[in-house]
Order: sequence, then C-alpha cells, then structure tokens
Amino acid sequence: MFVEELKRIFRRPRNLIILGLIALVPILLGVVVRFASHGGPRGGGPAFFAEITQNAIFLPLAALASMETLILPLAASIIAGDSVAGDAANGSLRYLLVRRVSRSRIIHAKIVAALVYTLALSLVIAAVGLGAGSILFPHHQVVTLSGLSISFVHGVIEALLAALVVGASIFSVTMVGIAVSTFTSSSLAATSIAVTVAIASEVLDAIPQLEKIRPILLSNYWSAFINIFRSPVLTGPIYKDLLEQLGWMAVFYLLAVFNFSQRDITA
Amino acid sequence: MTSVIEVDGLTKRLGAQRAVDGVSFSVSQGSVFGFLGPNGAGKTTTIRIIVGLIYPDAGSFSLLGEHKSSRLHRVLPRVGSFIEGPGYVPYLSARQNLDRFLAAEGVHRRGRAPLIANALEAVGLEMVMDKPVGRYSLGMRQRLGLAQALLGDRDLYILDEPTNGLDPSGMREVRRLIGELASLGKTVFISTHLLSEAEQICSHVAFMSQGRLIKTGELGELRSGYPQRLRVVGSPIGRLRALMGPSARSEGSSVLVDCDPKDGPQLLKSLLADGIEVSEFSWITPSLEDIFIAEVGEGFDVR
Repeated sequence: MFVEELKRIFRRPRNLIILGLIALVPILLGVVVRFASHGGPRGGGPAFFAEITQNAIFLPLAALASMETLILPLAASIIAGDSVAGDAANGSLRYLLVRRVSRSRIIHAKIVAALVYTLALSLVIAAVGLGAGSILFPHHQVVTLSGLSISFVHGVIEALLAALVVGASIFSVTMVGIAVSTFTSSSLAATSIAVTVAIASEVLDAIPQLEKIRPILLSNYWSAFINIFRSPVLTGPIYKDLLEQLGWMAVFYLLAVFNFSQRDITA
Repeated sequence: MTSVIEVDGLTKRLGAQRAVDGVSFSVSQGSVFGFLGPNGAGKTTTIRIIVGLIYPDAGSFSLLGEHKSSRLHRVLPRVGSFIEGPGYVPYLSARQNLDRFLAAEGVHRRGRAPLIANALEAVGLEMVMDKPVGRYSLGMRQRLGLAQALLGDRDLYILDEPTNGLDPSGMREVRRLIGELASLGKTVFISTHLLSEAEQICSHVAFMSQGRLIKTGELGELRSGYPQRLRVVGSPIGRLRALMGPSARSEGSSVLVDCDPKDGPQLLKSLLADGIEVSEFSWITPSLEDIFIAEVGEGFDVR
C-alpha cells in the first residue's frame, strides 16, 4: 500500500512540476549570484546567502534557508492536504476500503508517503544545489561558521544532513495537512489550513511579546539546521527542533488516525 | 437457501435526516436481488453500511456470514463492489488504477495483469486501458467502475446504479454481464431506480422509499399477489365495455379490466354469445412498475 501511495504521489504531473520548480530555485539562485551580482552578495538575505560565492556547499544551504519559510511548507501542505481528501473526492478511497484494505493500513501508508515526499523536496534542493554549486562556484575545503576548515566531501555530507533536518522540520506541517485531510473531501481546504498554521506560527514567532509561547511554535527551531555547520556540530537546537516536530506530529498523528478510523466514508 | 446478506433493523441518521430507518431484508445465495427505490430512498446508504464504509446507528447486518464491521476485511475479498459511481485517480490510466486496487489488496504483481485484462475486456475498455482516466467519457468511466467490481473471481457482486451514464447498448451489455454472473451461480445485489431494467434481470426485489423498506420478496411471488389484467379488443367497443363490467376502462381500441384468470373462459364465451366480434383476448401480467406504484405510490422516478 505504501508503494502504491508513493506511485500515486510521484506519478501526479502536478507533484512532479512542484519538484521541478523547487529544483529550479537553487539553479536560478546560483546563476543570479554568479553572473548578475558583481563581487557576490554583501550581507543580508537568508542564512548562508553571503557565503554562496565562496564554496559550492553554500548554494544548497542558502536555497534551503530561503525556501524553508514558505515554499517548502506550501509544497508539503499540497501533498498532505490531498492525501486523504483527494482520494475521498475522486471516489478511489471507498474502493480501497471495500477491497479488504484496512483503514489503519491506508492512513499509515498515506502518512509515510507524504513524509517521504516532504523529505524528497529538501533533498532535491540539496542535490540540485550541490550540482549547480559545483559548476558555478569553487568546490574546495569548506570554512564552517566556527572558522574551521572541513573537506569538501565532509561539507557535502553535512549539506545532505542539513537537507534531512530541514525536511524533518516541515514534518509537523505535513502531519497537520494529513490530519485536516481526514475531515474533508476538499484537498484545497486541507492544504489551506496547513499552510495557514505554518504561516501563523511564523508570524507569532516574530512577535517579541509572545516569547513565552515560542518554544511550542512549530516553526521556532526551523533555522536549527545552520548549527550543523559549526565545529563541533551544535546539536542542542537540532534536537530541540526534532523533538518539537515529534510533539506536533504525535498530536496530529493521533487526530488523523482516530478520525479516519471512525469517519463515515460518504464521498 | 443460504443468505449472503442479512440486514436487521438497520438505522442510520445522516445529519437531521434518517437516511435508513429500521431496514430488514435478506439476500439468498445465487439470486439477482434488485434493491429498488427513487433517488434518496436510502439504497446507497444501506449498501455503504453493508460494505463497512459507514457505521450504522442501530441494527445489525452480516455479509457472507461476517457480522462485525471491524472484521469485514475477512470476507471483502469475496465481494466485488461498485458503489455510487466509479472512483479513480484521474491522472492514472485504467490499467494503473486497477493495478493500484489489486496491489492494495495484496494480489501479487504477476497475478494482476491477467485479472486487469479480463476485467477491462469484459467492459470493452481494453483498447484504451493506457489512456489517463481523466480523459474518459462519462460512460467509459462508468465502465471502468464496473471493471473494478469485476476484478477477480467473487462470490457476491454489489452493484449500485451500475447503468448510470451508459447508453442503451452499454445498459444492455451490463444486463448481459449480470446474466452471465448469475448463470455462474454468483449472487448479484443490484440497486437501481430503473424499474424496467430491474424487471429484466432480477429474481428478487426489495422496495425502498424514504429510508424504509416497503416490501421484499421473489418477483414471481410478488406478481401473483396482484390482479391480472385482461385486455380485449373487439367491436362494438361501447357494448364490449358495458359487458365487461363497471370497472372496465377503454385504452385506445381495447378494453381493460382486472379479473381472476379462471373467470376468463366464461367471460369470453359470454362476449361471443352477445355478438361481440373479439379480435384479441389477452392477459397482462402486472409490471414491476405497477407493483411498485401500488406499494409505494406515485412520484417514483421512472425512466
């Protein structure tokens, strides 16, 4: 069932176009920085933006940082919102259920497949960014944020790790989308709600007076992946990020599984 | 005879409306059971309960001997279902859609291709099996839905409005398919609001109206409970009508009257004796539509 769900996601032209467009971002970013800005960007912009011209490793990292706040949550929400609601709307959900496929198996397959797609989004950015960066920028030893040098291969591994952390940071948004998707036959409604939750979290995160509730906001540790590029790696914020994602995921996982197991399939 | 579907006092409320209200009936193995009623009578809701898509508020049911909704997955592999139209992923082809259902069911990859080919051939879609279903016409999608129900060898076929959206030849094909399934000893439970269609294929029927079951039984037995109608064509028609009694009524050149078949020979003799030139003397069996209207009343969506 999981494989079938993955096929459903990756055979959908819309989802492939999303992946394609997302893959274009690091290429465009690299080309613009390489050819359109003389002397490279000076300060400002998302994390690692100023370092892009120094090393190929920084292009995927800058791309991840710039897309983590809106484009990645949006792309993940589209797939998550469609996961159950899409099948309910087109009627294929009822035909899965009358073919001895248990509700538990269906919802778990959909959850895992949507999480895999979420990870694929950040990994595509990292892979394309590394490829484009290697063509456009130097690829020698990398100077980390702590000022120490690491080998290029070490840098590639850390960039891929950063992509995994960024992908995992969006898991909460994906799970919100799936949970909402079990309540409706409208993919658009489920997607909109998941995106709204993500944006609301970022807005609340930016309000100083709400500092006390920050630790429970799903976007609070989204920039934690930057700490991978410290020597040694600063694991604390990364663990906090993953733990927070787990908390949000647990709540919405239970909501999704409970509602899907009880819900009347009338669509 | 063994029952493959047993429903007892089934009740389901959808919103403020009681969609199914204390419905009880039984479907015998090997029968072609027509579940009849107008749109909104509660047929689809009942079917959804039987296959485990929605949960009843009250009452019980069993499907192929299984009583619990949570254990229906044990018997569902023996059931082919078509419920309220086709369900498909529009950007996948017919072959990919059917493959998805079989894979989810746990059928091995090598076993899927022949099952898919047979089902698509049965509904005449084998030539377009690799075209995305989103580009299919309404009738083609309906056929795909039927192909999905026909995947594999099942003991029971539950078909909810299977001829919706089909042209007359498509409807005839579906009737032929159902006849073939019945001849193989399969049980077919078909829900429809088309009484003429049901009359041609069903051995048993149940009438639904406003969430309630009005009547159920073997079609022949139901018919025997209703008066036969005598149709006589003769002249002079005025005198013929007068001789046939006060309940007789004219319809074109013929006179119709409800009467007991055993009184027929005597009536014919008296008509001839009175000098009526009789050119036709025949019995009309009550149609399913006549029976339904007698039981449920007018206002049925008959086509």
